Amino acid sequence: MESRLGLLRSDFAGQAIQSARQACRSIYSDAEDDLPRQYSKAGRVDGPYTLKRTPVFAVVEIGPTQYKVSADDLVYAEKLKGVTVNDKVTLNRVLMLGSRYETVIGRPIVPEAFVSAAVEEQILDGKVLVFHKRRRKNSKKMKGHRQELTGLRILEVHGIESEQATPAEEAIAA
Amino acid sequence: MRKERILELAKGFRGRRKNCIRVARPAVEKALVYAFRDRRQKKRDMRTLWIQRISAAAREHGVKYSNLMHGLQQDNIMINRKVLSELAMYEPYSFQALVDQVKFMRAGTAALSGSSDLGPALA
Repeated sequence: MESRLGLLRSDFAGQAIQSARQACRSIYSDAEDDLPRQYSKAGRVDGPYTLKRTPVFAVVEIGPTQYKVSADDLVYAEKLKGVTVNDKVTLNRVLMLGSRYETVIGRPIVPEAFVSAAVEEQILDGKVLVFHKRRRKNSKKMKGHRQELTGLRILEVHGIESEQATPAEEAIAA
Repeated sequence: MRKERILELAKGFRGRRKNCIRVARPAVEKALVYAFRDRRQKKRDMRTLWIQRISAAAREHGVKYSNLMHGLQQDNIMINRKVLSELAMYEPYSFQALVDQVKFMRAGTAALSGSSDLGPALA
């Protein structure tokens, strides 16, 4: 049975933390809600595929980390929720695109650009031993830890063209 | 067995520290404590490395690291230092594009103060 006092105290603490967060919100994150969701499911992989490596890269944000990715890269990111192996995923937060001929810089993200990836595996990382010892006090503690990761195979970078169309090709297309 | 595990973890140690359990046990414990501490220090060290690389690459284009980061922040470009260092190493033209963007934005404000970034010493 929670005490009312406890509830009130936690309410107040929440507000204090929130207002402090508002105060020190830097121009980096105008609003977390303005940015699109980091990833969304987009179907499944039908069968074996081969990927062409194109001279195009994107800087994409997954979780708290950013990665510079191209096609046919394998990226190990923090575990993505709600996806299983062989799902296709679109990564919506693209911070920068680059090809041989142009660079697109997002402020902070490039609109209408995304990276499609396939979930290759959902694995546990290697075990790290977490060991604490207090000397001369006969106290030590040993724990093992395995981080959950998602292996993403980058399929394609959308939002930039890898080859610059020559004026002749543009005239033919028109 | 606990002893076997400790000797397994003591592989590569010097002298009796890798073979004799009475010497290996405190050595392994110290090693594990250092590993815990250094997993945290690694993050700091990597960031230092990225900053050094970004600074070197920026100065090649005539901009100081501090001014570059300030310019990127003002432009609301949220690329972090890890990726910036990768761009500086592997995508030099894209890195130059970022530097040029910062220079372009600073040219507006520098016209008021009239000072160049690196000063007369470095060209």
